Amino acid sequence: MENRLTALSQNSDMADGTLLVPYMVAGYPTLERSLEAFELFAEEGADLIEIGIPFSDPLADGVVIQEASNRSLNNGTDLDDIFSLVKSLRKVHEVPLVLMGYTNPVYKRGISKFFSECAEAGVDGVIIPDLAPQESEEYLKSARENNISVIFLVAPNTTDERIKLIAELSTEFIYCVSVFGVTGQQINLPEDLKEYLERVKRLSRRKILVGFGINSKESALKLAPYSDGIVIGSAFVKLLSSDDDNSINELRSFFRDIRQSLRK
Amino acid sequence: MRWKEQIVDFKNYNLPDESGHFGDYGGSFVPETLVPALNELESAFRTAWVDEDFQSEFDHLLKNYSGRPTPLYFADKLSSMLGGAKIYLKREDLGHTGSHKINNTIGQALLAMRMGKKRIIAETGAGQHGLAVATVAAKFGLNAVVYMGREDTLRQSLNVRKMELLGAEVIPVDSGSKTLKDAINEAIRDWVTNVEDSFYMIGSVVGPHPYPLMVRNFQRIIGLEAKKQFEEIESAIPAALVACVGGGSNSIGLFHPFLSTDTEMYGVEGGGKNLELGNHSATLSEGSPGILHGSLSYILQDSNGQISPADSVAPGLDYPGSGPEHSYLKDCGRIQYSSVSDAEALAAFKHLSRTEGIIPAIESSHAIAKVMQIAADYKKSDGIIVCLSGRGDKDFSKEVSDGE
Repeated sequence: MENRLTALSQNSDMADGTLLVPYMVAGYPTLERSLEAFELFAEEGADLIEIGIPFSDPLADGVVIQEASNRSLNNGTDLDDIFSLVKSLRKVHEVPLVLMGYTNPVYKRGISKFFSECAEAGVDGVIIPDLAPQESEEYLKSARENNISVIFLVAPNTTDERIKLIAELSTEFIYCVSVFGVTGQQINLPEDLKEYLERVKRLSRRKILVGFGINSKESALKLAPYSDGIVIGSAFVKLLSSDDDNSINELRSFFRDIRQSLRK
Repeated sequence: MRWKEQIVDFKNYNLPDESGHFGDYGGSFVPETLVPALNELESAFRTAWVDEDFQSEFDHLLKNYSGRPTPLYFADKLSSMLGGAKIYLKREDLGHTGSHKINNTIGQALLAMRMGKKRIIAETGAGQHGLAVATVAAKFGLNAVVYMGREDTLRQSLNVRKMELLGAEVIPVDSGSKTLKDAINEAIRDWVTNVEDSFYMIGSVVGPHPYPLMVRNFQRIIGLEAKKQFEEIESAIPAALVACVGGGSNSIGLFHPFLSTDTEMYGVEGGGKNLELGNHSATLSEGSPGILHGSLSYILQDSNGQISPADSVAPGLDYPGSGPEHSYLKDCGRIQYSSVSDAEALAAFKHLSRTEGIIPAIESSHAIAKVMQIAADYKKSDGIIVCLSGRGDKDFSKEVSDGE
């Protein structure tokens, strides 16, 4: 079967609007509630959904995702739960699903076992922020064998040469970290962001997703002209801090508002 | 290759390889933002390390600022009480700031200045590395920000006051287990945010390449001196070396120059209350391979790959990771790693104080406890060098006093 991310990258065009990529920590505030959030994203027209695998030491994440990850781990969330969650989503939805998590839980699971479980559950891609390309050979090999995409990150200080290397290892998308820092910070998007995103796009010839620090309709709209997709995580995670229907409803209306503003 | 002893020719030992690997271990598992910074650091280090001006400035400071060489002291009373080998103490506790940590921070400060970085980020557990960072920052006019687990700021409050006196900003860390692991997480988050003007001064042979190589090279002076001093006294090589291992910088510093000899080596970890996961810091002797803080090495983790909190009476050993080179040397069978419990370390703390009039750091007391166990297995003509990595006047926290 064709990877859903491949189809998405081929069928999407910046002229039609900007892809919206929501992120939520699986198992937060509870496993059931996070499933509701992922269903909501799918129902409301997310183009791609990032499912966060909680990790004890998420060093690329700010305090919002750290705390959400801790709560999820305290609930006992493990990879078995996450693969079951993916299978539940897959019964109803065809939206591309990407797991986002750190290297060690993947390594500990067994690299090839992890990727074959991803394929079996219906995962299309993975994002592993601390898996630098130079350490990724074994991971990429297993991912390819299972038709799973690996989405690598680039940062504003990534050199041209390295962008080309990362593009070679990437199939459809590259994830551009918008700023120096961790996820969920209150930031002023830098002046030279446009130049950076254009540089990545030109050198990589891949679709680019932009994330880190995008927390409102305004910041999403500001970046939309220069990117193929916008990733929003901490802002959604924050809204779901209470395990109740009211939070889900707030999340839905916030998501819907951004969704509509990114369509052309 | 992992899990079994490998045949390694230590006469030609030259690890890490160019990409920073010690066999399967090491490497560089970091967010992309840090890749250019690590490349820049590696290039600056490799240039400096073969530069005579850098080496002579480093030597000059080690000698005149830090007080090297540190003595190799024959602990005659301790030796005769134990009734075995002659025990020598490598007195890193007598150097400036009271521990071996100053060797590394002098080296890294010289490098930071060459790279034009004025802001220094560091983590600290016991506060000994933080103190050594604050010291060089004061001397060289750099701004130091030191992350320290909240729990450690309480049990090592004297070091917090010293760091602040020296002008460093100490930031207590409330995330996770509030100890060294979490301080490193916060230091890395700061570095990712301020990568363009900040230098991350890591305190042990852990983290992504080139840190394990660089910190080891700055600490090798311990072993180079000890080898020469022992040779002058005994006209021989020691039968064994003993050092405590948290991340593993004092131990690799002592061991590395002896890897090609027949000397036996013991790395001693914090056995904590007992060897149940969560109650100890015996990463190499009880843990399994995994990725933490940028490199592949032995770590303490659960079956899902979540990092387990460590525990030890010694804040400097209270870390669920270990250096990648130690991980490699463990698998090769070249170094024997084991642990001693909090209670055994506290007993050794008291014992060395009473027999030799030397109060050891609670970290170093783990090495003393180990030598007390093995000394009698050696001949009276044999010599054992123990790295006395730091002094114990920082260690009058409630736990230590209660244990005593």
